[in-house]
Amino acid sequence: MIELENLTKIYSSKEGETVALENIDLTVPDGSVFGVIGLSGAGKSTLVRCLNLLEQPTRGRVLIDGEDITAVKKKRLRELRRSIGMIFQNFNLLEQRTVAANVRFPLELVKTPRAAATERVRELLALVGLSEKANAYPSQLSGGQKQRVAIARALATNPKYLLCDEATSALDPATTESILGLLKRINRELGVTIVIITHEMKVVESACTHVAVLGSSRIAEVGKSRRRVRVPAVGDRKTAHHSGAHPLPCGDGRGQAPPRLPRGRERYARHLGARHGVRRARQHSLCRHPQDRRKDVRAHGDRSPGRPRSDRRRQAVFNGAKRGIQGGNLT
Amino acid sequence: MSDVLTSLFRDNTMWLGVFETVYLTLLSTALAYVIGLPLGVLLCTTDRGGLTPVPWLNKLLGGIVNIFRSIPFLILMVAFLPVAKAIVGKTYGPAAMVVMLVIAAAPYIARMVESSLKEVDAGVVEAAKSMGASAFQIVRKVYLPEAKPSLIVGAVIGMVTVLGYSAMASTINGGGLGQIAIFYGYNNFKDDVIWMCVFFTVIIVQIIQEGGMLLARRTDKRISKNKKSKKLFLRR
Repeated sequence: MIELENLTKIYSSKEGETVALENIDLTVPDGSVFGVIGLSGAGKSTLVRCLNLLEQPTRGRVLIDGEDITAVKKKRLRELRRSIGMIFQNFNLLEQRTVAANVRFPLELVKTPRAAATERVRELLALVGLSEKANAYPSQLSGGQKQRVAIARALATNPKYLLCDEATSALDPATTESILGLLKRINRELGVTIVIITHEMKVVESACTHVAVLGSSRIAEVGKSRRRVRVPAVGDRKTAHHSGAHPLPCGDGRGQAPPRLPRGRERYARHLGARHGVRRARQHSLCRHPQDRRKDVRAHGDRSPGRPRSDRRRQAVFNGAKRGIQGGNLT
Repeated sequence: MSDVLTSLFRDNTMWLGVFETVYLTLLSTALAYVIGLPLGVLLCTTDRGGLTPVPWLNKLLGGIVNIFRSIPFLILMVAFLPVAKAIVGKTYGPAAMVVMLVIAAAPYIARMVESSLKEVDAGVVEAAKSMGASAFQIVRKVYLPEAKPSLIVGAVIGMVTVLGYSAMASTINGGGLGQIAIFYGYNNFKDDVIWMCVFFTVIIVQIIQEGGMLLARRTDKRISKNKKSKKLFLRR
């Protein structure tokens, strides 16, 4: 279990102090896939980097299985870090090492005997489905493959936790899906507790069992599964909205009216990933609600306006056809 | 071709000069790396935002390096003759020259190493940290291997600089092509001897430069995609 108690991180520079995290209290239960979602600059990355002390918190405690890692000695911290794997947005592979050597890296750090290490590397590459790429170099891999190598590397020392710092943000949607699938499998089959930092609601929806919404340095909302993500208190409503969350109505307890629940077309557009409401989404044929299509058909006869027409058809229309090719004059 | 030049070739003095130049350059560069490499690593890791920031040590080492680098080699050579005497017992000859070259090249190489190491992606270092690597492990297994191609390029530049210095060191009887050019050429008013020495120096520099760059390209795995296609092309 990872517990954050009153965690505060303040960056001080010549221009003044920037509060990145303010009094964060959070518990990541064992076995969960815990999503932390928020806009850029909300402090998500700082939060996850505090979990293995890549970032030293200004105040507060980080408890890993009850042990306060902000207070332990350097040597113990290194041991603890081996039980917390981490993957990154930019993969951070060693460019001069092969895939297999990258995965072997954390094993070398703990001086695993060569034979055992080789065996473990083979196992891990099989797990992430990259056995045949063992001798390739990172520059020869695609983004998704690189992230798989990074995952294999992070799992080499059998960690109990896996931190994902925007791990899918540099990947396309299909690759994101496959990486999330792999993470879910790791969570299920190996029992690794996973913390996912992201700004994409889709990631939380498809992978997370728990979610925390981070809005301007504070936890705005914590809940179990996507159904519980609600629009947080006024100032942070934007956070959830821009993340593409489907806001469910809930007042903020200060007399504010509950936000409107999008229905029908708008909900459908949001579901398909529209971020700017239905009007802009409509222009995109993929976001077209079935209702819209029916209306188009009514208004424009048998053709819907968005569809590209063939040259023949365009010619026919140009020649005055109103009801498609059959009714028009082709000459 | 003057009789001096022909006799230099006949009794192999010229070839000995070429050999001495190469030998002294390689030896001096190697010894300079013994001092410069750890110094460069320290400069990189103790810097603010480095692996183990120690600002005062960084300032101190940086200051020393800057002082040595700002002294022109010719002056440094004269000023540090007592040091050569203390180390090798003589103030002239090849041994003394090597001492001078190392003193002059080590700070230069330290800066080269520092800049090579700073090119290593901070994210990779962070990843190693997150896996529980110690500072020493990070230097040995991340910084140095990841910066290898850049370090090789740095070594090539360092070597060519040392070669240039070695010609100046001929004034203390260091040996090599520089000394031949001065003693047999300049002092005897034989221009062809000077130009022959220049020619050989240029050849040596070209070999070091091209060889080093080839090695750097070969070791760099970041561009191995192109290399593979080249290999395929050659096979056909």
